[in-house]
Amino acid sequence: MQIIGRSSGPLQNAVSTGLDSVAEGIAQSTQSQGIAALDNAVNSFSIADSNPQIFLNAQPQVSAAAEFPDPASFLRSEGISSDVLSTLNNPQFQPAPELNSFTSDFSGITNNLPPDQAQTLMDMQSTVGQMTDLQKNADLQFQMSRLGTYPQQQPIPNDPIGPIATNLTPQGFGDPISGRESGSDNSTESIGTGTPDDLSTLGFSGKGKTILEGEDHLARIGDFDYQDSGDGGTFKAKGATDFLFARGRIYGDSNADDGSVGVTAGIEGEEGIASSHYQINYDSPSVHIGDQEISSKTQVNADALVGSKGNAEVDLSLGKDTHVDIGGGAFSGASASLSGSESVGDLASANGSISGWTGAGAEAGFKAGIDDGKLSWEMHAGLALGIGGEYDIGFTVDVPKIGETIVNAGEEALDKLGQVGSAVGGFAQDGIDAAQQVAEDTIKAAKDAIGFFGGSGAESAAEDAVEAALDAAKKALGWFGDAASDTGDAISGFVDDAVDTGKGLVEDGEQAAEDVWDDIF
Amino acid sequence: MPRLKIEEIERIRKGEITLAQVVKMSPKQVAALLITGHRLYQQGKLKDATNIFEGIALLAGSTAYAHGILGTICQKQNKHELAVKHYTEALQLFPQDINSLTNRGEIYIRLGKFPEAAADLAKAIQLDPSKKHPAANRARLLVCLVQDAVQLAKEKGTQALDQERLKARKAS
Repeated sequence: MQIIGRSSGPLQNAVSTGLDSVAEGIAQSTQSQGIAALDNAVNSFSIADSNPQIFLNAQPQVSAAAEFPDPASFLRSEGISSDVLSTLNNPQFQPAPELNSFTSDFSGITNNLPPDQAQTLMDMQSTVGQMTDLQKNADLQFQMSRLGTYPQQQPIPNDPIGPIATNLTPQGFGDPISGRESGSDNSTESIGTGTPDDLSTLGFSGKGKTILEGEDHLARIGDFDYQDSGDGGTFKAKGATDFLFARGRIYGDSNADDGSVGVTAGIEGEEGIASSHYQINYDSPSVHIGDQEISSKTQVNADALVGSKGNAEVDLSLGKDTHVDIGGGAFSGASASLSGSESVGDLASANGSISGWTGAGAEAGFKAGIDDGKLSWEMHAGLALGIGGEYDIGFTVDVPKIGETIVNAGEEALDKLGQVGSAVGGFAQDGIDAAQQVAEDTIKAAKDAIGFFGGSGAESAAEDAVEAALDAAKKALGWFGDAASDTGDAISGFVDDAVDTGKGLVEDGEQAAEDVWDDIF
Repeated sequence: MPRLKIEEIERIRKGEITLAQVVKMSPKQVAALLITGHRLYQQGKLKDATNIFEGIALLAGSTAYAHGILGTICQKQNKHELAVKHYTEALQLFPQDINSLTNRGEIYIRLGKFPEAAADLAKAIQLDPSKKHPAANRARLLVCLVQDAVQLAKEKGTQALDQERLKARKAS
């Protein structure tokens, strides 16, 4: 009677579905075998080591019913290296072009296969074909809308392909605005800690060494570069919005090692109606607690693009591993994204990003757990916006460091730590509010500019595209705000709990403290 | 597309080559299909996902991943016998597959096949001594639940078990 009725939190769903299976099995077997079925179950399961304590004292990760991992995780667990696994591990891999090339003619072999196997191949080919057709239609609709020959740019209603479309264009290409690959690390470090000096480079991937770079725009508004610091901390903000712009960059890299000589060269460019990049940083003053210097750092990035972005790359290697790869990708549409991060010393950090764009879908995933003493929570979820979008938000709390800090700190310092913890949620919300304002102002400015610069047909289509991006951003912001608020609450609650626990630990002495921390974590 | 030759059919039958090799499928194409099939599965588009993974299993030869995920799809569709068949095939190719062991064990529980269930779940638990694998932890949870539930059914009858089941559903 230990697990039933005592589950809590994330375990509840696993217990509920598991109990369904168990009750079903017991009902089935008792109907046919009577009470002997129960003895049979007892005898059978006496061989398995259940150890219920891990569910009563901790919250281990438990899979849902009928769950199966993603292909890369599974193939890694097999421990067999293969070209397929290497491809799955490659963050630059784009499935869309491979799917397009897969629609090859199987008629030569289906004629010689048994009918059921031939049907299997045709079913697969049909599914792949449907998906690539849908993607092509989505791209075509947008291209026509930009030319003013298609009356309205609308999301595909009830798009049966849904989130997969995300993978076929913007996601496979990476974040269409910032150039960051989707799913890449959005930690504080990867976002950066300072405002950029050259705004024109923000839209590019940063690959290789820049050989040639250029930019031209008809107008730039909202250009500001502000910095202030004092007792309340340091605040930096920088950004601008360009209209009717074009910019490009050529890059290259070469290397010679391991018996091979390699050259990579590429070109990437953007052109469009409006493009905005804004970045805000706030660093709070430091508070000395125990042996830790605690300060908070907040960063928010807001980007928007109405236009096209594309790249082409050639990778040539001669020698031991001789190969030539030619690849590229393109994104055309209206999109908006926000990303941000929040950290409190080395103790806790939160990060998040959202993107919205036309003609795309979403994806979802969830990961949580404790690794090397760090409690982490990550959520990468696509938003069923009808247009497309995603957000990626998470936090990390260094549990041992908090424990160590609390144990080393005095009573007064602990109260300060509690205040810092409570402030995290507030900082996160402030960042969201600021980012929302920037994004809305940017898109409004873009709409005004279209009215000024645009032609009649293109104006209508482009305005629809901007409206679509605005809607996506607004919906995404709602989700992002909720998620950020939850994250802030979670961190705040976690630190508050840690403070309460820490106060007890200080009173009981260091040995007792270690015991309690061990019990909790 | 060249026609399949007699000797190629024979070599495929013997497992010396795969259809994917005959049609010159690249590893990137296989990877793209795996990613796409898994995304469709995540979205609940089980028919489309089935089409992809059955095709992969046929083209690329027997792959543990394709059979494992086909087993999961069948399990979600309550096609328990077919799910067991796929999981069994996956486990023949990759006996340490904790996901297939746990999922097949849970189906055996549903079918009232307790000895088979206990064997699968015990092996899944044994393969994860660090207690970190989510599927192995589900196996541990199922073992606890069976032991608890059987005790409850013995003491108070299966109706009490149904009440607990209802409470757990509400709580989740």
